[in-house]
Amino acid sequence: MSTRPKRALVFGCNPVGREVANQLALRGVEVTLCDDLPVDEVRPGAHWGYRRVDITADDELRMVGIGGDVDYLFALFNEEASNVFLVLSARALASGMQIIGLSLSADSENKLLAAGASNVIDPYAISGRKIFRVIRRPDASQLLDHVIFGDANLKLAELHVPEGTPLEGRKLSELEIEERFNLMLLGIVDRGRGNQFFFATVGIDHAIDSDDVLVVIGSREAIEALRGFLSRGE
Amino acid sequence: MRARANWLVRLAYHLEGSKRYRRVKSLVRSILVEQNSPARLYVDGFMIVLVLASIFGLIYEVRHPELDFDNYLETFAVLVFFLDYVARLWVHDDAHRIVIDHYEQAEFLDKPFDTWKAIRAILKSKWEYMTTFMAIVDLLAIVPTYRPLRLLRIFLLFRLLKLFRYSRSISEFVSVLAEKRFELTTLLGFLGFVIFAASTAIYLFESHMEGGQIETMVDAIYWAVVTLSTVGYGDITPHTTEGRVVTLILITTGIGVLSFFTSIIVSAFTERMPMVKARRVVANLERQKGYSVVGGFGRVGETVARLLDEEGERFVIVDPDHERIDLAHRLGYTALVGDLSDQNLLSDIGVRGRVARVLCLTGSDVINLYATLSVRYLNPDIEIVARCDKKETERKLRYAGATHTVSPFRVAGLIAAEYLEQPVAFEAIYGVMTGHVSVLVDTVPVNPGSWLDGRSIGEISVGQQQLLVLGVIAAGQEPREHESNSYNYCDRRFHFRPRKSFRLHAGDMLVLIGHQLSLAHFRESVLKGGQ
Repeated sequence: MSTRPKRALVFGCNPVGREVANQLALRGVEVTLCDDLPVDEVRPGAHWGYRRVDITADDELRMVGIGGDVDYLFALFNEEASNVFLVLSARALASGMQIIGLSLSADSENKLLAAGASNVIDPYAISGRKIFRVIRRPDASQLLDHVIFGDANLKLAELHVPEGTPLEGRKLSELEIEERFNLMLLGIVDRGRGNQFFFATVGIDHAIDSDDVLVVIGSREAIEALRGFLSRGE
Repeated sequence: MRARANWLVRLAYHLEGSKRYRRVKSLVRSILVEQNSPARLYVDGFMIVLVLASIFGLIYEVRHPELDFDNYLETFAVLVFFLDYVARLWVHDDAHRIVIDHYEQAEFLDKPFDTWKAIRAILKSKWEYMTTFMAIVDLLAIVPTYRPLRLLRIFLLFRLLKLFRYSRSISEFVSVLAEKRFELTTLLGFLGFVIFAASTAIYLFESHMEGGQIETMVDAIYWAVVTLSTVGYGDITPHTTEGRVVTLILITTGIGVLSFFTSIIVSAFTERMPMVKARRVVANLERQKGYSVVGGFGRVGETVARLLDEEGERFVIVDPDHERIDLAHRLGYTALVGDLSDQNLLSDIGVRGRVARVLCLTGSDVINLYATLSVRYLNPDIEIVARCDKKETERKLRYAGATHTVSPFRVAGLIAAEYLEQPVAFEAIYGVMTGHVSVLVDTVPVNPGSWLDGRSIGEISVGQQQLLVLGVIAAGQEPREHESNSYNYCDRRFHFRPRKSFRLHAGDMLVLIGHQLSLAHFRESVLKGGQ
């Protein structure tokens, strides 16, 4: 793993774009906001810069680093067509980059995925769900927010099983991870079964291989302890 | 000179002070006048049946004058109508208040109390009611009881007009027509002129004719109306050339007038249809309680509505945009066109009492804020969830009275950041949050006396049902026996991954993760006592 900070481009100078840029910058990502607006019309954020980019010109896209050192690209324009265009252009320039699109209507998700987006965020659907949870399951809702967005003692974390782990081939049931570290195992990506994520509720006793990913909920210390366990096996 | 309190004033004060009098009066008022009282439904139904029965009795009597049964019905009906009329006259205003007002005014100005002036004021107020259209109809329904006057019996048909009072759909029809009063009166004036001119002309041309069919002015008017309406019975026909020319003109005019008339009515209804529909929706809501109001049917509103619908929750959608409301109707939701900041609309849909919560979910922070404020003003206890797109608005919304705020863009930002840090965990939890996967985080309350109450985590065997116990939100702050680790969570305590020996108490809340079917099954088995 490199120690270089991750670089992200956020396209779309609108409330979503600014909010995403803020949140990424808060977590130490080097963020550049891009749009087709003149530089002096954009109120710059405290932690991110702004670049004027014409998304229809591949040269300009290359110049801001697409196909270069940019790790993530967020297509957050308000127009669906612009997002699809940007995703397609960026995918053509950089085949390995993570591209996240903004879904504004129900069917734009599929278009963005077809255009090459690695993932699609639908803020309205999430908000709708959230509002529903707030009014119907207020407790579960608050708890989930605390855990996911990490302002509680509990944290949601994913742990990658390192190469050459001593635990290779051991069954989850014999390791008793949950009891030993006082964690909750939410699920696992078991490379022995493909790249799919399995929720722990399904009840399959997975065997640990290197490169598996465990998703757990627990205190920070417990998570760190498990991380050590996965690499050292003790 | 001091104003002297005479018998009238004393009576007025007595009535004002009498709780019973006021109770009875408000009861009568609620039965007869108030739009939304539940009793009114039955009273109106009864009156409609009575009106129809008395009219059918009248029809029946034509051929069977010897039956007595009809007389009883008639007497009963008239008695009820009479009581109805008197009661309405009584509750129309508070006569004793008028007396008291007059008396107090006189006392204040230090003038003698003029009894007759007060009585005149009462009579004037009552007369105002008596001259309203519906009051006249009511009166006409009672008056023709004096049978010997045969002509008056036709007025019994006025009882049918009483139906207007009792049926909402008819009064809606009338109000639609009333809206086009100007057009209709203009047309009616024109119609009167045409009929008068045509009937006079035909009378002048034809009445002196040998073998002519028009002998009187009544014949002429009858002929003119039949021709104008394009009914044209043909029992009376013109015989002179002049008469035929009049006929031609009259027929042409008649077609024009009729089509004009039709178009007025049609346009009145198309204009009013959304309002009539909205009023239907409101009328249906009046019988319900504890529903949600979804303000704004955009992407967020749509998602919330779908989820509420799946859950079997009742809700009504309010949006100023006709197209969105049409979409909501197509999806089978209760929806009406309107603005959430409209105070009248808000009280009509029951924000003052029957609504459990209002969701302000439009795409504009300004509108959401204004709606929140309007709702909070009407009801200080209601739950309000407001959407805010700008961070700064959140505080203002809280200040305006929102119970919860949700910011789609902030959520998107957090989710995006989470995605970069932990893509796998993100996929899992994003699936849970958007409903893409069928695994849910859900809470099951431990109700006092339920099967869960007093049982330990080990006993409820959630593992067999493929559920994970994320934790228990405890009712109290105090630590429990066999506590593993717990955190303060708002004003309560959250026990993370409780041990098998952890005992549930009433008021606790189990937080479970699992497939929605497992969760549903678990809830059901809790209700059945662990089966």
